[in-house]
Amino acid sequence: MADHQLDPTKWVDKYSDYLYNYTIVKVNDKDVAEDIISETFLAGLKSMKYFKGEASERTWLISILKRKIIDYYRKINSKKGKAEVRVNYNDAEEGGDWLEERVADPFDRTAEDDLENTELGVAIYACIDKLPEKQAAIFKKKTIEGQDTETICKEFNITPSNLWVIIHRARTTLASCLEENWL
Amino acid sequence: MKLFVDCKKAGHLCDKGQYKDASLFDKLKVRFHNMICKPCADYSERNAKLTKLIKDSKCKQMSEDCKKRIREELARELQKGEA
Repeated sequence: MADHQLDPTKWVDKYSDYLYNYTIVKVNDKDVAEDIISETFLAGLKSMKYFKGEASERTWLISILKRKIIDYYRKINSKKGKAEVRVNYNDAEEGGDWLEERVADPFDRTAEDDLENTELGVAIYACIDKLPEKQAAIFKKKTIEGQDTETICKEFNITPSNLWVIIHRARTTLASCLEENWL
Repeated sequence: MKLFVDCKKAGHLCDKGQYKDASLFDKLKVRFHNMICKPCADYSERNAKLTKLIKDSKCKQMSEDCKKRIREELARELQKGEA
């Protein structure tokens, strides 16, 4: 039974920030993260026919993303390995802990507090995802991008009091969504 | 200008306060209201916590440029699929 459906035209708006927060801690580089997410969406597009509708769209995209992140580390690790063979191990006499030097553990790179903060970022985006689309868009612009009220009102063609009602609803929903684990 | 406000107004001003959109006098109004109103005091506390949480998380957004690029890329691929 296909409970969930895919709509690639909305992927970027709905999931890119969530996926980005998820990725950035794991790769620690803005450009790499952006590339990986772009690849993830394209791969998703290609394998749409295999989507069974059992998981939510977001869960499905995350599973693709995870594989892409692993691929990325495989790639850079194999490059590093080759370079080290050439530079350090051309002398057969010389030993060395080849494996240990080669592998950079991706999950060991960030300081612990950083890691916690990113998990928090992912949690926040997961909660934002539950808001109605327009509410989420306005809340993100106001709160995370820090745009001023006037600019947002113009963009969405709403009055300031509309905006504050939307913000109020979004904040109430978010607070209860985050309450269990974080507040 | 009155110092005492109702719950609705206090909540609204408290929301504004989270974005530096409230004046000092507005904040004072919230403070006074909260002294006599437990539910609003709780709301203010939660609201402030949420603000701190979002700030601490250093939530990042993907750049608009990049989003635009990916959107276009996806649109191209989708068209190809249909053709």
